[in-house]
Amino acid sequence: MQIGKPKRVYTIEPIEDPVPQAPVEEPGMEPDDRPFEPVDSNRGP
Amino acid sequence: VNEAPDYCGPVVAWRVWYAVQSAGETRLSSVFHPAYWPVCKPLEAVCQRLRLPFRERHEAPTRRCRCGVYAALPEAARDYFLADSRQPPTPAVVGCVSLWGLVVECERGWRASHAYPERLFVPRLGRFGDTASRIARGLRRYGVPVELLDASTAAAAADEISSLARLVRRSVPGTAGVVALPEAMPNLWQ
Repeated sequence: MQIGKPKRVYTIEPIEDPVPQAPVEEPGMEPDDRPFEPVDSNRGP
Repeated sequence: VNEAPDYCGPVVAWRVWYAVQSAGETRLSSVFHPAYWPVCKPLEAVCQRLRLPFRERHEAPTRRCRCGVYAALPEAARDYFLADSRQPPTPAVVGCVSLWGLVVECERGWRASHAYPERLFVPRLGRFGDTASRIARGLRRYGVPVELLDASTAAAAADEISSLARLVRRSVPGTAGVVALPEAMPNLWQ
């Protein structure tokens, strides 16, 4: 991604943690090792 | 004594990931580096640039290097998604990311030392809708909102991203939007 030249530098310390506390586990979800098929975005349905 | 930070709320901007399967789990992966984004832990930037022996390691990001976790204005993420989707090696995911820690603000985006996804959109393109549903289901482990984006082509998905950027911007009161320009953020320290 092209984001251009640097303009300035600063520090951020969020008051609220942007990271959730624990991963969301959906009931009935089993490990899935099937690879994802490439998405051909230029082909129609 | 630590110095006081300049801001107390994260920059939230846009980026593109790949979705990959690893050890039975769906993970976000960076586009340029083979780095998985951890679940419920921030991604911490490490400079990957080849270093000469006499050079010291540096904290990431720095103004003079290109290191850091990247995010951009929605237009930049949209353009990147559109260009990248011509030859995708693996499904692309678009979304917003929170950036904090040490931050380098650039002309069209940011590089930061710490990052975590804020919300994710999985484009359901063409006939690969089932794959998109699997990806979206798997990415919910990150504990952030995950939505399917219905679009028949990458161009339509890109337009949808632009619309979402406007909607999301309005949905965050008190900032300039999900793309929260630091100039508009409340500064409690000055």
